[in-house]
Amino acid sequence: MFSHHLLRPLASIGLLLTLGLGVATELAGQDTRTASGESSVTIRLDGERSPRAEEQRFIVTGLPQSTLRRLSAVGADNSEAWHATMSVTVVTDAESPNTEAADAGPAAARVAARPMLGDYFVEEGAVVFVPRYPLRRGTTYRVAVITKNAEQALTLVREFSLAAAPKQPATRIVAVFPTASLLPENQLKFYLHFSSPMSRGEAYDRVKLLDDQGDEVDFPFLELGEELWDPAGTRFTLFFDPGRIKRGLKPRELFGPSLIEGRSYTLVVDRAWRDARGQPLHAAHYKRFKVAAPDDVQPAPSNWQIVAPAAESRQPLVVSFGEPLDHAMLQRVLTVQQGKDTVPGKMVISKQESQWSFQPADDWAAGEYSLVVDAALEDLAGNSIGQPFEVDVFNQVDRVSTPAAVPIPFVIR
Amino acid sequence: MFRKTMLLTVAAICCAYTVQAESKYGLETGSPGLKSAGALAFGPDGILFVADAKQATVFALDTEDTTGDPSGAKFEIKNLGKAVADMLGTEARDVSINDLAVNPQSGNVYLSVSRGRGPDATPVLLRIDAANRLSEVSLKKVAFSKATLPNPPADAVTGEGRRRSNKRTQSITDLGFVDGQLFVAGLSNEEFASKLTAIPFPFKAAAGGTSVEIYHGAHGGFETRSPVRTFTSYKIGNENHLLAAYTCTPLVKFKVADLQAGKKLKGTTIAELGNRNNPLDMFVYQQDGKDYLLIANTSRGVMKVTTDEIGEIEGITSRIAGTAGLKYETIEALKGVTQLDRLNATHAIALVVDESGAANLSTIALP
Repeated sequence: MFSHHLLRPLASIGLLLTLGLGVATELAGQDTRTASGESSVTIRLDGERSPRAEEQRFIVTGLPQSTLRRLSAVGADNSEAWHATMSVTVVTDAESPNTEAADAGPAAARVAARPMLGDYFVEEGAVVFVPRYPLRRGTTYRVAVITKNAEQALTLVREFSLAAAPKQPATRIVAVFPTASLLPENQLKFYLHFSSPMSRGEAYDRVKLLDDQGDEVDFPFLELGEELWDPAGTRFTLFFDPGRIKRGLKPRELFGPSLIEGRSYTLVVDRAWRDARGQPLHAAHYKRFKVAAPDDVQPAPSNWQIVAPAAESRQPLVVSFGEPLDHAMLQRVLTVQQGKDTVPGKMVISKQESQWSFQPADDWAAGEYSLVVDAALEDLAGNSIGQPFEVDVFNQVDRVSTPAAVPIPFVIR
Repeated sequence: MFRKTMLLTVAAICCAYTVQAESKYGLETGSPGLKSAGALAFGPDGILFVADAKQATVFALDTEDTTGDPSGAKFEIKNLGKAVADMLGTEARDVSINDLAVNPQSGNVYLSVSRGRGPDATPVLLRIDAANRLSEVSLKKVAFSKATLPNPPADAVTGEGRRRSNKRTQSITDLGFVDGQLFVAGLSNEEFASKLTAIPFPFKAAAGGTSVEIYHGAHGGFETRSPVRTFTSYKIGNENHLLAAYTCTPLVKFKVADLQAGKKLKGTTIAELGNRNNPLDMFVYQQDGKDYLLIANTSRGVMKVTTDEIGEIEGITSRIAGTAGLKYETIEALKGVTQLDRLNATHAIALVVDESGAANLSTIALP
């Protein structure tokens, strides 16, 4: 490993002319091995484990005074002038033992590394480079220092392989909504919940839909450049391709709906999906479901069953919808109000998202209340209280008339 | 001495310009505090609009990049992802290039990038100049203003004084500046609504703009709301229109004047682009005295759409075999295009993913 690193020609710098300058390489978890040196030039990395870039410093000492004087006059933004003496680059692809071969295609190997962004300055007789962004754990950085004397230019190279982040317990899929195993043909989306933040940019390569023959359904999902995650990165929203749900559109007419009534399917989540730390999932996940007739009926709060508890108790208010509704929206669109005041309490979603119950923080007082529902609340097929997913009228666009919120009165006795 | 004088003159011009842009557009200088950087669009005088979906906010940044010659620019960078990762001191797998936009005044290319793949990824803006040099656009001391999108998700408080975490976000799929207004398209990660937001620029204090709910029809007599994936502006006669591609593939036109707050608006479907292709980017260009629309798609190569009947077309209302509406040809040679923008009168710039999976920045002749 040692000699391999040292003898390779450095494309970005020119041929390595000498090994006699205290050339060193440092590997994670091992002692530094240093060749005997004729020069006093040393390269070190301070603050390697600091999460803050400004505390991470590559420091070169022992450079001739003439070099330091020259560099002291170089502006901080003149990076090309600094690079003539010192550059820090990322070691990637086949060069690095830490890079997965799958991630570096052949094209990657042909491209010489560009120097990293950061600030150079001279301080206390040393040349210092502070990277603009924190160093990445598990990555190898190469520092090249070029010194010149009357006879020749000497290149000193030292590599720093940062220890990989300690392994954490693997991330798991903790829930997939809807939880029901019978879904309408025009099912609009899934929510995948993970135990830890996930990595972005590979979602659509990690999910597939298999039919009851085990064949993969072609392009069932809407693939977006900006994946639909929650702010914490632990919930992913996977929409079915709406072009194959909506009637009268070419995608559906050419290829049919993604789901067909009466058939069974499995949503498969690939274990290789990486979490935010780059680790694969604990296990693949399978959600099996059967497909029922399409649901074109809007949720109607007037049909909901509300069981009001007795006054002076903390028994929950129980609302049964008669069908599963959107799990994510149920968390935020229902509130219990007395007059204009919101009643504090806790809610629970149950019975495959077809029931919502609310336990007040204090005992119920006798009186009139209302359950206030945001009209945006959708069922599994995207029909909301305010409007159906599709309207079977043509050239007839009305002004929005549904109120934004629908109050449903109930009485506590 | 001469040199020093020159420098001073240049500095004076720069200052004068900055002051002008700041006062003209009500910008303030400082750190805009981006938390994510997605869709990009250029406005007047080198103003770059950047979508920050994480904060449901759009930023206007003064790039001070107003001189150059787009007509002769030629960009070729192999494996741009690696080049960017090298600069940012990380590995290509930990970098994503979210959008690309050409500054029409200078011909320089701007990239929005995430460094890191998790929810705490760092937003970065990069500029590529005509010599194919990459540099960072400083987000520390820059003249900027911002507008927060209307109806940002509000935390519902229902439990024991405890605020529940709100998982709803509004992603921003595209931005476009037309006639003094910034249009913002996007979709929520929960409800399937379709809102196109118009924000007048310069942004006013507490600017939020207005949202219009947009619909489209389909043959057979159905209409639905649907999020817009990408759009561009186009003048039909004397009226500004938006040409927009929905996530479910119809291509529609709207009159900009019809996009009014509180109104429910149905776009006229002018083409159905077929399946297995999600539109990614589009722009209008001229060739031999005619206008064409160029659309990059996820899987069908690049489409060149004729605009000959765009003014008269009444909308696709009946069942038509194959593709209906405006005619288009698919440029099969242009496969793997993930980002596309107009560079000049004869060329576009594209990010093209090759067989090895590397994304190469290329200048391509307009078909």
